[in-house]
Parts: sequence; structure tokens; C-alpha cells
Amino acid sequence: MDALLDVRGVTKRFGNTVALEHVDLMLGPGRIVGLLGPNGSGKTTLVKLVVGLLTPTQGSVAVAGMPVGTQTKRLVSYLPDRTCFDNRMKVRDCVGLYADFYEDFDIAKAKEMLAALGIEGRAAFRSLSKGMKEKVQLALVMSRKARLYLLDEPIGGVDPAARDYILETIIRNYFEEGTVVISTHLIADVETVLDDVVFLRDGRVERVSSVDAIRESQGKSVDQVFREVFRCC
Amino acid sequence: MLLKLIRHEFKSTARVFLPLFAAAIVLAGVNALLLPIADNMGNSTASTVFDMGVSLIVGLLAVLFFVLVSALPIVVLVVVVIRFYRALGDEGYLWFSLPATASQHLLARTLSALTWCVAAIVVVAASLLLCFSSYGAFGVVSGFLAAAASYGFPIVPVAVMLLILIASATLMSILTFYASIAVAPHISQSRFGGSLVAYLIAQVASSAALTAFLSVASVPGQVMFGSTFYDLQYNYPAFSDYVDKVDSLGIGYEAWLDALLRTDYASSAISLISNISLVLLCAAAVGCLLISVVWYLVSRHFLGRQLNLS
Repeated sequence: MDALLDVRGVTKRFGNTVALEHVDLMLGPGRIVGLLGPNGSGKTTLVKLVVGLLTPTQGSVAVAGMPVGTQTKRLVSYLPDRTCFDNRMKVRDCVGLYADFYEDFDIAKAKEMLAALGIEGRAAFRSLSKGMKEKVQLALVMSRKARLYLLDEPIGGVDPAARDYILETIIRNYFEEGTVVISTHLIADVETVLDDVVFLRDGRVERVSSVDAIRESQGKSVDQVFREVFRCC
Repeated sequence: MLLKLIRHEFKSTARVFLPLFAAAIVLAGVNALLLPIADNMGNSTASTVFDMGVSLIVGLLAVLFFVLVSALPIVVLVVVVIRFYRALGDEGYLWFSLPATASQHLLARTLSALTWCVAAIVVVAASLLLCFSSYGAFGVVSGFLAAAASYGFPIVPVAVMLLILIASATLMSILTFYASIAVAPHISQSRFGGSLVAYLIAQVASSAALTAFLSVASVPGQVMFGSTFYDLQYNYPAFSDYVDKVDSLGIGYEAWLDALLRTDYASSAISLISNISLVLLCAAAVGCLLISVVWYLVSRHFLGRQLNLS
């Protein structure tokens, strides 16, 4: 498999806390991957290491064969688990910023998605609800023809109807030669769209498998397997 | 990429600073018009309620103007520091996922911050001149400059060096803040507390380094002073007599200087003062720039190879 994402022996410590320990992971192109694990399992840390927002304590991360840096950031479309735009910006400024910095950004597609949401370009970012802000960010991230989409908790904190909208947006808009990584603990909601799953527990990779293999070998849904694997004592 | 970052930085900061600068200039203009009117009313013996009302409004506008111009450079510095702090918080998830290097981020923010800080100082000077224009402020300044020039004082080189020093000192302040904020996540769980502690340490280090540097770099100035004074004393014996005479009279420094400027030794004294000023200004500017480079490298290291957005 030509690795689009290659994580080798990555350990990340914050002081005495070990967030990730000896993580090895390879993902190929054209897949939709669920990065699954309970809260505090290291999902966000792993995503941030791939984006380049954190520096590994040990090990290496490569995207398309290149160590994380300016070149890989051109290939990665990242949706953080928080609002990252300055509240004083207008929606059109956010679109302009993406259009300015990313060559693979499809401005027409972004405008179309925002129009479908009923969001006008002149609207101030601060005037939008939390859910709307998340949708604006998702629309911008999914309007890129990226090689790797990293979506950190895209459906966390929104109502079930909004979850459907978000997942539909992801599936309908991602660049099909790219790989989508969805980090979440809401397995049941994303299960239907996933090709592969990566289970993280206490900063270690517990299991990497295709969804079909789990269903065939165990006759259970990913959600059921997840609940068994991560059952609290 | 750097140009794009600079453009975005200027665009988003202009929204904050341009209205502030415009307010300072407009208030200066209004005060320039109203202050002489209020003065005339004050001279009038018949004071009415209307006059008192006008005086009150003029007084409030004057207070507002002076508060604004006194606070402007500090406000601008505080805003650029807060922006940098926020850029390493939630907004960092946007900025540091862009395909730009740590150097490009740092350069864009530093250049924008420096420009606005220097612009704030220029706006303050211009608005003060404008405010007092009806009292002949332009005449006083140009008269002072003409008088200094007539004594052979090198106004342009000293003014240029002074501007360079102001810019270098501002740059050092900005980068001291930036380095403290960049280092903070590595010294404390609390980003704010870490920034504060790092800033205090960085500030002490900057001051100590600048003092040490100036004590060495000012040696040429001291040598120059020594040799010129020696030259004056031994080649112009009358100068020595004159200094002894004014010292024995115990007159103040200003009178001493004024008397000196009326003598034949004025040009030598002016030359001595201006050369020493230039050497000291140059030394201070170089010191500030060297310390700025150190803080720039520290910031770049922690934003690049050690980036850890919480």
C-alpha cells in the first residue's frame, strides 16, 4: 500500500502525561477512516501531530512521503474541534482567506454550500450560532480538493439532524482520490460512511481494520465492537 | 506566502487601528479650532451660562484628546500583543495549519505590529502639532530646528538616528512579548501565567543585556568626549578659564549652556554634543536590534520546531 499517512513510533508527552505512546499507523489513499476512541484516548493529539500543530516527542509523521511541514499542509484539509476564525471576521473574509492560501480551494463550491445553509457572505462570524460556525468551517474544509481530510470531532456537540447534514456534506464533497479521517467517539452516527476504523485506547493503537472485516468476522456492528472493546469496568 | 500573510495581517489590524488614528487626528483638529475660542471667552468679563457650557464641552474634548494621544501607543502595543496571544490559542488552529513557515508567520506579525506602533507615535506627534497649531506650534518647532541648525547641530542625522532608535526599541518590546508568549506552553500549564513569568524573565534579561552592551558600546563616545574636551582645554586655554569662571559662579546648567553658546567655543561644543549623541543613539539602536534578533530566533524556534498548541 502506498502510504498517504505514515505515522512511525510516535510518542507525545505533555509534561508527565503520555498522550500517545509508540503509535504506528499507515493509511492509504481513497479511504474514509474512523479514528475512534473514548475521550482522552489521544485522537485529537494524533490529528494535531499530523497537521503540524504539535511536535512529536519521539517518532515521525509523514504525509505523502514528506515529513510534516509547509508542503504537507498544502495537502491536508483540517477541521479543528473548535472555532478558529476571529469572531470579527465576516463570512466572506473567511472564504477569501481560504481562497488566498489554498490553491486547491474551490470558491464556487464553498459559496454554493454556504448559500445552501442560508449564510450570507456579509454576515459577521460572531453573529452565527455555534452550530452554524461549525458548518461554515466544514464547508470551507470540504471545498478543498485535498489529499487528506482530517476532521476532528465534526459531529460532536451538534443535534442529530445537524449530524446527518454534516456527514452528508462530507460524503458528497470530499475529493475522491483523497482520504478522509473522521475523529469521533460517536460511532453509531459515522459507522455507515466508514471504510476503515482505527481504535485508540490510552494513547495506543488498539486495532486497525476495515469495517467489512469487522462485520464479517464478528457479525457485529462497529459500534457494538467499540462498546465491547472500551467497556468500562 | 509571506506577502499574503502580511496583507491579511494589515487588513485585520487596520480595522482596529485606523479608526483610532482617525479619532486622534479629528479630535486634534476640533481642539485646534475650539481651544482659542474658549481662551477668548475666558478673557471676556461677562460670563454667561452659554459660555460656561461651551467651556465645559471644550474642556471635555481637550481631556478626551489628551487621554487618547497619551494612551495611543500603549493601546496599539497591547492590541498587537493580544493578537499574537490569540494566534497561539484557538486561532492558531487556523493560522498554523496554513502552508506557511514559522518565520513567515512571525515576520508578517512583527512587521505589521512594528508599522502600527511607529505609526501611532507619528500620529501622536502630528496630532499634538495640529492641536496647538493655532498657538504657533509649527513656528516653535521650526524655530527650534532653525536655531539648532544655525549652530551647526546636525539635525537630520540626529533625527534619523532617533527615529531608528525608536523603531528598534519598539521592535525589541514587541519581540520580547512574542518570545514570552511562544515559550509559555513549555514552562506552565497556564498559558497566561507562563507568558507572564516568561515576560518578566525576558524583560530582566533584555535590560541587563542592553545595559551591558551600552556600557561597552558607549566607550567611543567617552573617548570622543575626553579627546575633544582635552583639545578644548589645551588648545583653547580661554575655554578652560571660562569653564572655571562659570563653575565658580555656581550658575545652572541651562545658563552655562546658554552662555557657552554665545562664545567662540559654541561650534566645538555643539560638534562634541552632536557627535556623542549620534554615537550613543547608534549604540542604543544596535543594542536593541541585537536583542530583537535573539528574541526573534527564540520565537521562531518555539513556533516552528517546538510548536505545541494547547
